Amino acid sequence: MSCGYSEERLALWMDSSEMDLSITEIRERDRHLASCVACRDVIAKLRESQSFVKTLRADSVNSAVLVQVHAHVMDRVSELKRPPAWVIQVERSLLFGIRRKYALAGFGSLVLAGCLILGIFWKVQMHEQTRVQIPPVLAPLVAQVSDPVVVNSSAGSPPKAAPIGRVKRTPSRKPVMVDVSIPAEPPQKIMVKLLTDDPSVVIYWSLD
Amino acid sequence: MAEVAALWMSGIEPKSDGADAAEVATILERAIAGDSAAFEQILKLHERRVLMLSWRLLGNIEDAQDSTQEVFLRAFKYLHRFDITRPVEAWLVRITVNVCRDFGRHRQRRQSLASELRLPGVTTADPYSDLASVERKNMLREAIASLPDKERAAFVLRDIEGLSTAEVAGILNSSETTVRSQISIARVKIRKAIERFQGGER
Repeated sequence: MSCGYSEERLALWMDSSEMDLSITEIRERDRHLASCVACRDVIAKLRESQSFVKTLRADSVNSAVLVQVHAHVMDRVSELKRPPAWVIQVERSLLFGIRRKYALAGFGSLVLAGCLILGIFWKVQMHEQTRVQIPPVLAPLVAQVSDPVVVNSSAGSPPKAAPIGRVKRTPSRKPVMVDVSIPAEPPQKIMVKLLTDDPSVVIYWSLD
Repeated sequence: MAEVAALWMSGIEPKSDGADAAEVATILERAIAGDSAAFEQILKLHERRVLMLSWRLLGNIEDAQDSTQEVFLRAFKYLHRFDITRPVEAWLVRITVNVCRDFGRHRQRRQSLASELRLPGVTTADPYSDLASVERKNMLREAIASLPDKERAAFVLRDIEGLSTAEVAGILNSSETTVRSQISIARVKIRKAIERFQGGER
């Protein structure tokens, strides 16, 4: 349209009784149509086609067709098995009236979220402390050590050797347990210092 | 009043729609509990409207028959999920629109002039003018059937079934603005189809 109004817009202007137009739109329409012949012509054609469309409202179907449909539906309904009423009631009360598929989707999401949280928790626990067993090669050396030597290090900082002055010595021969926390990041070499009975012999053990 | 007009336009018997809401709710409860006689009552109340709507959406009566059967079978199957505080008619219309959309996707449309001629809505006083009228209506149905799904549903529900834009938006799960846009586009397309047909007639 040369006036700038599209035909689709005019199609909504056809009938104000259809309650689709606001008062502002009705005023705009009336003002424009009073001056634009082309739009009046388009609206007249649209109204004509609409009156033709409305003739379809008067159509009716043959009763025989309805009877046929009715009989077929009732035949099929008698064949269909529906769950008993008490099952429906239980399902409704369990699912709070929510559709089964939505309830299942919600339950699945909850399970997934739970698994995710547990997984994260487990990973954090694993990083907190890692127990390192002494390899069998070092077992004879370890057996000579009379005192347990514990070297502790906090995660994220380089391992520190236990100061000699703090090592407690006991006459009994006990297996040595070395409890080392491996820093999470960045990966670093860990040096373990093993003390023996002889103060001049110190064993250093490097862990990759 | 608007509802009564819409029902009249849809070809529903006024007597059946005058049923008391409480009575309808009782029938629904019985049907939900598995009473097939109660379901048959629902079927009787709404079968004509569903068939007419299917016919208008699909464009031919054979597909409309199949679609109507499918609508009521789905309704029976999912009746236990229906909220009886809501109007059953709107629910059935929504199922009809969905079923017809599926039919339109999966089935080739068939032209059946013979069945259209058997319609009781067509009088036989003047066979020539009746034939012209039937042809025009067939053309119109074809034009409506050729519209995209959403435009067709909005156009049929609004301009033929006579529902309000808000009701159509509710049924189609869409906004009123979208429905208005779909209706206006469909009206223009239908007008062009009618003009082409009239041009061919002359």
